[in-house]
Amino acid sequence: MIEGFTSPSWTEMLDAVMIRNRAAREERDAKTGEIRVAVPTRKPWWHIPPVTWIVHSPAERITVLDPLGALVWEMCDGKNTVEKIIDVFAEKYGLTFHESRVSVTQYLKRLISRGALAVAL
Amino acid sequence: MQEWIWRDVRIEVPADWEMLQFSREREKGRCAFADRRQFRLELSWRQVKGAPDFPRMMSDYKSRLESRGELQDAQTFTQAGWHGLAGKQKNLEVSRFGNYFDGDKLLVEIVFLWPDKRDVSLEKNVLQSCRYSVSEKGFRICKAFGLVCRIPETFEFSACHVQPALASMIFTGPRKPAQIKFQRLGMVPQWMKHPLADWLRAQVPKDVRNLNMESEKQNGHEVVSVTGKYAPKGLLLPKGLYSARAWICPTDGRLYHAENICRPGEDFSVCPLDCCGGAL
Repeated sequence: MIEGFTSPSWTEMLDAVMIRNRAAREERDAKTGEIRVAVPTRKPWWHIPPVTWIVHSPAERITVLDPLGALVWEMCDGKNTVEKIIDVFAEKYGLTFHESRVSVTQYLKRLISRGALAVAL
Repeated sequence: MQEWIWRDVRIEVPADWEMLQFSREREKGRCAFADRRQFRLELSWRQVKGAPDFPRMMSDYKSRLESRGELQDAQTFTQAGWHGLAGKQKNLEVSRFGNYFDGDKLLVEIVFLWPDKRDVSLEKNVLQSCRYSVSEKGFRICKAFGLVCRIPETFEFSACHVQPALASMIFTGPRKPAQIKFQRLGMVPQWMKHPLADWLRAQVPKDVRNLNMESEKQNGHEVVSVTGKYAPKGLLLPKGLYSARAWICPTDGRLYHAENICRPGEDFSVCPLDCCGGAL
């Protein structure tokens, strides 16, 4: 049996709960169903004049979520487990559990890397 | 239970077990099924010269695993015609079974992982369902990832891509440019913004000319088809005939696509892909 066969990587993640960054601001586009999530950026220590006269850094990092991502984002309320989010996503888009798991976890990883979400195990 | 036919091995597993790992090789390979929490079954195969001496093989296997400390409380037995070895591995009950399929001189091993308790009844059902899938009228059957396809025996399984909402399998014939491709795509309303005929036309390789498109109703499915001449630029490149069909199944909402390039004179234009229990 290959490595990971007895203890696959995804099992622990299913029980995890996703928490939104409190500092994140969201804007909804009712027409397209998109959500814009703006996360404040932390300025590096060297980002002071005169550097700021030349290099401008944005105050917020914006992530635009399509309707699929918006569904995942809305379910990340600190209560729903990742497994629950996967089930809802699978049901809504007619996917199998593992098809949905791969899609949802990829989305969650992207949101975590952009500072919009945090994981609570 | 859900039936899978992979590399001519037919097996039925619980409907919520999905194939997450696979290899395409005919001579030696493996595939693994998982439920939502963990891997539950591993199926491996190897072509051998003849039937092995199973009692001796199982006893050697048992001794090897025990000496390495990989299996505790091991016991050998027979279940549904399969030679079994069960025991505990890292606090997990594991049962392994071996059998020989004479049809293709195939040595098959099935490993079950039991996270709670060994379910002998389920184990028996799975083992009873597992057998060599015989070709029908010169066509092999492949049943996996929601696709049920019939492929000429002489064709090789050359590629398989599985992603969320996309499964595709490519089989290549013994002589170029013969090739058959099957696809099943999901989440269709989310990405399909044009008529199906336009999508099908966009899938046609650039080397296909004289396109002829048709649309007809089959078993409640609106099937769009396209035919043409496969003529790549180049004096020595083999020419052929191109045909493809696509439909959106009203039952599961998935898009099915079958594409076939065959050599002139060969008739594989109707390489059936099943949908809703019947061939289309």
